[in-house]
Amino acid sequence: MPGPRERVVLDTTLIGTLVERLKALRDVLWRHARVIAALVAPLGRPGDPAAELRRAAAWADDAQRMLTRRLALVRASDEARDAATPDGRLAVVGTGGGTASGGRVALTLPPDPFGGDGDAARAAGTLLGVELAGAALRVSPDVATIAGAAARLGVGANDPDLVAGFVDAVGPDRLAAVLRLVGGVRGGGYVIEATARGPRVHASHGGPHTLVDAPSRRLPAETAAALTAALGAALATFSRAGRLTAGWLARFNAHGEAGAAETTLLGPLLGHGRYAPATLRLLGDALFAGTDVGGDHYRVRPAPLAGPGTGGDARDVGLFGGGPPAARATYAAALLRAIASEPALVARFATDHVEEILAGSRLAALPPPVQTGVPEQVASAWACLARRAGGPEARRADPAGAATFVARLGFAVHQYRAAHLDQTRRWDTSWLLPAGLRAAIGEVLGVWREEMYASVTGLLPAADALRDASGGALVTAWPAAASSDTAADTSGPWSTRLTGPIDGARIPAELWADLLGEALAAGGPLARALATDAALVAGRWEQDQWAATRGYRGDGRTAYPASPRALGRLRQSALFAFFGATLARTADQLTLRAELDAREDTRDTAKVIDELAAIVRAIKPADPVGTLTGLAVSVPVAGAAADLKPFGAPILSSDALAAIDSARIAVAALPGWQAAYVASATAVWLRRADDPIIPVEVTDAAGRRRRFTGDPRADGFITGPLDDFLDAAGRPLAPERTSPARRAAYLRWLASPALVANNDRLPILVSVLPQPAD
Amino acid sequence: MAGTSVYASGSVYASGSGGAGGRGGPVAPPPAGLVANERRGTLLAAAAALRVADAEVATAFGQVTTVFGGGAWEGRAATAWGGELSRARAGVAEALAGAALDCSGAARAEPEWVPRDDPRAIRPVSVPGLPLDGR
Repeated sequence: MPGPRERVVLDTTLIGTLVERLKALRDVLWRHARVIAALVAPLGRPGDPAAELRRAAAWADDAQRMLTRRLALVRASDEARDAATPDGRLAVVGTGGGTASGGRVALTLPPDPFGGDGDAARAAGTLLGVELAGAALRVSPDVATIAGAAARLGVGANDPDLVAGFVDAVGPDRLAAVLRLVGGVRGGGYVIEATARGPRVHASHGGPHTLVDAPSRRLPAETAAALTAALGAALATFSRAGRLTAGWLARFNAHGEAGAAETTLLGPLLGHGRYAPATLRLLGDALFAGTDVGGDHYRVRPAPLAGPGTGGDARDVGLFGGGPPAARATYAAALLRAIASEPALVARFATDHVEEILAGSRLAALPPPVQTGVPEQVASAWACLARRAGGPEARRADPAGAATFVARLGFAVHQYRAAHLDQTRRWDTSWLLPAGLRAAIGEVLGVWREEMYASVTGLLPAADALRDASGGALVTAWPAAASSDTAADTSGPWSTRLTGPIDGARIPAELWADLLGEALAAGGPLARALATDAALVAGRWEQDQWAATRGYRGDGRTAYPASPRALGRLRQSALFAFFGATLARTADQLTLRAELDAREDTRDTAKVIDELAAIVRAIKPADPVGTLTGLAVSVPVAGAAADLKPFGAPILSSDALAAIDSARIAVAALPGWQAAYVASATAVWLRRADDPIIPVEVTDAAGRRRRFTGDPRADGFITGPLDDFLDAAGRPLAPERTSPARRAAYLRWLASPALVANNDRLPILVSVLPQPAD
Repeated sequence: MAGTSVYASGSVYASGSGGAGGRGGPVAPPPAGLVANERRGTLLAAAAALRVADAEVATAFGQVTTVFGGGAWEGRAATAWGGELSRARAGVAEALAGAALDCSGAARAEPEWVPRDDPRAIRPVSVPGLPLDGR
């Protein structure tokens, strides 16, 4: 008799420890029970301490099984929170967020109908499985029994013991046949045979028309939907228990054969529960291996299903007999979206398949009359995958994986553009990215905006591991070590291994520029959002710079060659210059494309360029707050104005081109400012003997008054041998040959108030974006 | 066979008091015509094993209690389970300590030496199939 709903507060990590300690206690009790029985029993003394030990050992064993089951139920309930009733999940207490990564969870659990008895639950699941298979796998399915079984399975779908009993009783081959019935999938070349041990499925081997295709073998839509939901939730539980493996999938086909997985049948189920990342990864890798986007048409084919327990020759066959064409697309989209919903998985998965995602997306965006056959829902799922792989959840859950994904995405986009675009030769053979993927890239850039602008305004070039031996151009193939989390490539300052979001600043500016260019080409609200991001970052830098150097004027008598805030302003200007340059280049590419295509949609290009020009006009490099206001007010007005001219000439307006040109001209003055700054700052240090550095006193962000002398040791930038970036003669070591710690200390020193304020040869970047007259 | 008890060199026997093979000292020769009381030795060994078990089981229970009390699980069912845990722990401790006391008391009541033909000169037979070291 199930009790009332139970409120549970538990720490999933500690429960795991408790289970382990109960197992240890059980073992200790059993061991001593044997010893004491051997010693005491022959003595014939009253009492039986060994029996007491055995009783306690049995209790400990029951307790650990009860807690294991309870933990699984809590995890299932927590995992299924999206599908749960609003009052099902009360709160997640403290840090950690969920049970997947441990942490304290408060839940109201539904009553356990088996009162914590796992064996009883398993037996009930077995009974349910036998009942469902018997009712479904017959000439005329017993709809009432199926509906009843679906309802009971739906109630117990989160119970790992019940589900294990159910799935084991049905078996992967019969489950495939049940799913064919549920999905109304005809054909497939299999028969159902009634045996003493229940119905059995096997291949028909070209025999006569089989009973499985009889018109009566259909389920009412309502029953089919209920059974789909119940099976989806149950298989998700089975997956989270670690049972939905390659070995199990290798028998998941209605032919009863070994080595073939009819994965397409899983399509309708995937949305009804949270499947284990290992299962999703297995299916996802096979999906991409069987998706061909390399030519001019989207094709799918059987692919290896790699994993233990398959004997090495298991294949993802999709669906025997083909089935409806949309079924595979539904499966692919559902699987990709399920993977996208797993923050700890999505980044590494998308990193491994980024080339296919981009190639497939370009294929999907080819204009009519080309029929590439890319299902719309699959293209949309690719964009979702990219958005989530670089999104905030993945960044938190898998910092290294997310950083690597963004780098890999940028690298792939850069490689493609380098191969297909040459503005100077007026050459563009590229296939465009669809708007959905451009929007996804834009969202990713919003998440990584700090790292992007830190990279493009850094004093030292980022990530030379992606550059060739000369240190100039980028390498042409992604370094193998960079995608592996077990790579030993951790030495040296230019390690390809990205360990977290901060390493986003090591992604080369060229890659960021290409990603930003792709996103800006979408125009409209996305381009404005990207400009807003730039202004927000600039505004924060300005605030931080001010907070770290308050009160530097000191006694009012000392005159410094420069303000200690000058480098900050320089970086702020460089940020806007980078944005402006990327925007101008994007506008150029859009213009060229429109000219080369000479198509009807030139008007769309003109509208995007109008929007980009409005953004350029709104940017005020020395005034991030004013920029934000301009972006919020003037850009939408420009967009609306463009929309009001539906019959205007489809040509680019001279005003817009002039605004874009202003950004282009300003950028020409920029290259090399970082090297110029480093050289002049180093000179300030090396000439200190005959031209002393004037100490600078500031109040830092923490409110402490600090005095900077320019000496990296006295100022606390060098704290020991590990971060000592000076050679024996006191000259800075070449940063490309020093450790990351030394390089970081070197960069902090170069930007310190004393070195900036004493620098009388600061590169001048005043008003990098000349403002057109209003 | 007399005087060659399997317990004579075992650590459990050494922890007993007043045994024929007293800790550290030379083994005193039996009085003429007498042999070691094997039943007494077995009682002492059992008492020592019970005390060792009591200590080890208490430690293992303590480790469970520490995690449980550290906030692993709270609520109505947890409170009930905590009661079961306490009862299981107390029941085992009481059984072991009681049996150890009983064995020690019985051993004290036994003479150290017995005539060669006394039934206590023969080591009590252990339960078949259960090794004495518990492994």
